[in-house]
Amino acid sequence: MPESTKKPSSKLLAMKFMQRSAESERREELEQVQKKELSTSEWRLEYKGEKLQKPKIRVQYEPSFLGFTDTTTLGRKSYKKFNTDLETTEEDQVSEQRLARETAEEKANEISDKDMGKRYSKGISRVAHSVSKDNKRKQTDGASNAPKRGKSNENGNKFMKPK
Amino acid sequence: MPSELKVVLPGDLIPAADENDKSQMEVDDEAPVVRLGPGLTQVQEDIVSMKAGVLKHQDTGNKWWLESNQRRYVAATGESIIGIVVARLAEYYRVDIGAAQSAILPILAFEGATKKNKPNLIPGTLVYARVILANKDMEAELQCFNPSTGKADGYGELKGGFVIKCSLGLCRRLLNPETPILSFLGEHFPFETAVGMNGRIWVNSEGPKYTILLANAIKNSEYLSEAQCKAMVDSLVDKL
Repeated sequence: MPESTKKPSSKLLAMKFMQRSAESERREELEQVQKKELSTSEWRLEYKGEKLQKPKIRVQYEPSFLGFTDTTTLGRKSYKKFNTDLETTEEDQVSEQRLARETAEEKANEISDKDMGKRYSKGISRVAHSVSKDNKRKQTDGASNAPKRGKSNENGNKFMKPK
Repeated sequence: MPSELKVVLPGDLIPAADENDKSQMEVDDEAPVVRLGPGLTQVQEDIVSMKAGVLKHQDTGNKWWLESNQRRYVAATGESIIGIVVARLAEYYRVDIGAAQSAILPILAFEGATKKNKPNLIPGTLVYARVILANKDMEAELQCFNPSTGKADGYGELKGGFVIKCSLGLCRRLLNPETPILSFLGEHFPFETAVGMNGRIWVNSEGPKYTILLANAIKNSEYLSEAQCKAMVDSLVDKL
């Protein structure tokens, strides 16, 4: 191929799509240069053997008094049947709220599954020694017991010929 | 459960952090959560009071709070309040709830309200509403129905009656069913009340003389014992 094909003509270069592609190439180059500059200018201070301390207390704010007192949140009350509609809804609400409060209290006293798991895992590591001993004993017992059980099962399930 | 009466002043250290269960810390690797109520804040590793009041503690949920009294209301989510409609805008009413900022009450936040059928409250109307959004940087948002049932359940416009202002502590006490003053009054004549946690109490009765008696009795009851309340109510009713 002749060398002249390598270089596009000035007319071709002036066309819009050629200009566009040239511009995108230029932009890419610029971006790469910028990235390089950023990565060289970025640095981080490194501490030796220092860990982030865990906070000693975890705090949760409750801005309302409602969560702390046994108040009924419905503040409307009627006496001596001044407003009968209200008195009926009031009774329902009071009982509902009491129920909600009691269930919440129960939940707070329960141990979550996660905690239970953690507690068990701790317990297991502590008792692992004695447990392994027990297991060995059980295995030997089981070895002598297992065939017996199997036999009795066979006896029980044995086909009995009707007479 | 609250054990003893402990008065704290602003800036006092609260022993909430010290009493954390050590055994629980071992299990969790993380410190247990302390729930702080109004008047308490965390400053680095300490818990410090911001108000003067009586320190209270509840073991269930490790809750600490200050039982204090003040007159300025600070909106908090879930509280029932009595507001006064100040203005009507395209989408909502602007309501004065006695806090630093006014609150907004969407026009559709009423029982059974639709775009075609919505309540028309003129400025000056009293509403009993619940705070559903409270933020120190934004206006509080109110609602006039129970979201779980979709019914009014006592919320909405308060027609007739009379509003008195009192301290927030008294309002909180009146909401407690063990507070005797309202039931003492209820033994003598029919009436209706709505207690807002923002320091406003609405009373409605059969006539002005009953309403005046109610207002006086409730205002006076703030620092009276149960026996004194009973005596006061009896003497007031005798004069009717």
